[in-house]
Amino acid sequence: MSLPEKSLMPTEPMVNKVSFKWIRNSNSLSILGIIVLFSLGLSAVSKDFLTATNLFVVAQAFSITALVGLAQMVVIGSGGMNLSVGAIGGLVGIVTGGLMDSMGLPIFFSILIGVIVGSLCGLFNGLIIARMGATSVSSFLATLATSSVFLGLNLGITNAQPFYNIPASYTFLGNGKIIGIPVIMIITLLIAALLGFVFKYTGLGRQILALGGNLKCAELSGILVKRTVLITHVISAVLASVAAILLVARLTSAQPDIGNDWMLFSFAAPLIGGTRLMGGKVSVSGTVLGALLLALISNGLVHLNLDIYWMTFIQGMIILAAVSIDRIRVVREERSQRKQRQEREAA
Amino acid sequence: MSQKIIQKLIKWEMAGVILPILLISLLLHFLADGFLTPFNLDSLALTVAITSIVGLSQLLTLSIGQFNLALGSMGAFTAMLLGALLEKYGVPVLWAILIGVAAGTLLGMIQGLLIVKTGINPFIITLALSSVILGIATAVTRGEAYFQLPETFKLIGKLYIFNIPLLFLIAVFVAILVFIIMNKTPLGRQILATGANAKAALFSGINTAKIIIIVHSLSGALAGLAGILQVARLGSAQLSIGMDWLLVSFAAPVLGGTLLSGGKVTVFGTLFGAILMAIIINGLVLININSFWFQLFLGVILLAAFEMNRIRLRLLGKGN
Repeated sequence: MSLPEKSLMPTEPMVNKVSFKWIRNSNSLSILGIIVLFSLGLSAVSKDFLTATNLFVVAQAFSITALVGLAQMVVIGSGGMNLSVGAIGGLVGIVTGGLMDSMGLPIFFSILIGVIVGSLCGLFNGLIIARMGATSVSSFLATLATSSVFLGLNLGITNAQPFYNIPASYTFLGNGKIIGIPVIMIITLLIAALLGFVFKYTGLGRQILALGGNLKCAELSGILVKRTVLITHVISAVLASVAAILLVARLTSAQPDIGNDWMLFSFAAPLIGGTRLMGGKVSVSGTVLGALLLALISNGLVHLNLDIYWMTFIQGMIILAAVSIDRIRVVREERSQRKQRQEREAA
Repeated sequence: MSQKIIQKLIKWEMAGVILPILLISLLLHFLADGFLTPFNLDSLALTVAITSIVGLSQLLTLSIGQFNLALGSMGAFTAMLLGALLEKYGVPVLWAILIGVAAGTLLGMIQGLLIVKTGINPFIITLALSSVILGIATAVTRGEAYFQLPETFKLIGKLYIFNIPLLFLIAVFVAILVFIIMNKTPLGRQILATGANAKAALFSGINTAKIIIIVHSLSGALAGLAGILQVARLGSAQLSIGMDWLLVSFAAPVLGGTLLSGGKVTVFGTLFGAILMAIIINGLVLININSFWFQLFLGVILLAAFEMNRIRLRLLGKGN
């Protein structure tokens, strides 16, 4: 992404070549291209694809995927990972739904308490990870254990029984429209914009990325590692909580198995979008577009009458494809850097 | 002098898992009914057998500082393959088992090859593969289970030798085999060297790429074996086999004293780690705790294991 500013400097004849290279290297644009092509293909093959109902369904699926992807992206950016996004989502969905159903609490307070419970989960994650040394491995292991703790709390509270009695005004969040635009999508895009702002313009965003770039360097340059890890995991947990709250509104019931299948696409969306798995580099717009692509693919599989049993296989292959593309890009970058260095040394 | 310190540490780390086992067993014997009944001990032994083989499968990848997140899927794949071979194609039991283990080995080898050849982060490769492998098993079997298995095969899950379940003996045998490989052969030393410091191992002439592929193949073989034994225990091959293995696969070795950072493994500790976990869950059953809470306890056990790992690392740091 830093290529264009540098490369656009030279004389006019270069511009053509450079702008093509820029498109090729810009993740968001190439994903956008794939999305447009894919949508065109789908609308040509299936008459039902470009209907208002179907696009609404795609928008709903996209919103949840995007929020879950962003929840993972924040932690990946800090050089860690959060395997408990799904378990946090499940617990928050149950708490919010349960408060409205069996306690009859007002919508606002139910959501508020749900988000607070989610943040506490994130805080718990962060505390344990910081205690284990704040490395990538420790975040993997810690969240593997805590996801079991959160899922256990969820199942223990509910005995695996869902809450169905959800107020109609609450379900508006998931199924309503404002001037033709799904509410769920408006909320998601607003949150994504806020997150983009945090990463682009605030010290906090830079600190999170610095942690992912090089933990030791970040510590030596005065970043409070423990504090940043805590904040990162709280942000991640809050994003997962919002995803769960909106999913409950969309399903019009709080199911204990919410979040069970989030893990794979939580990694897929940011990785497709050009977030570096090792940390230090994130792309909010890329993750959002990655989520849109994932939502379109799973919607497309339905329209193409593809065997539902192949779904798990295809999801795995999508991740492999995404990381392979990322790997090719890294290798190519390293190669061109090496060539530049050699040329410089030769000169 | 340094040898004495090391010996003390070894004693201490086994004590870290054996003492809780004794303590909890005593408590359960006095507080709960039916802990020491043959029926309960048998079911404990069967659980321990599967868990410890799953733990050893993870222990192998931990020993080179990597993970195998796909071991559950490998177990499910092998279980379904075995079910199909026995029920649909009428393959003799022994051949079916051998083909099953070979399939697990092959899956592990593919995983190792992908890690070595592509240079993509091993974590994401095993995560994606776990979905790919389970996806193939799901799509090919269309989500259905195999129930009509030959009696000779089901016998494996019911057979006793000197009153000890055959499955448990197989697990002990596997543990001895892994122990010999890790501690008595050049291969084991090369594996541990790779885990302790991959770069240093490479510079001292170890073919680390080959080691990584071998370790993942062995890990796949054990995951496949665990899948086969689970089929023998249940009497049917189902896709749900292996779904809940990931957590225990880490907990058993870490409880037993394996360092998460690689380069140090305790094979028999893994067996004891599996026993400790099985006893805790068994205890929860005996004191009538709602089974929906078990997931929570498993997570807490794993967190406690990490805390032990941390203390052990600190002690080792002082020891050196």
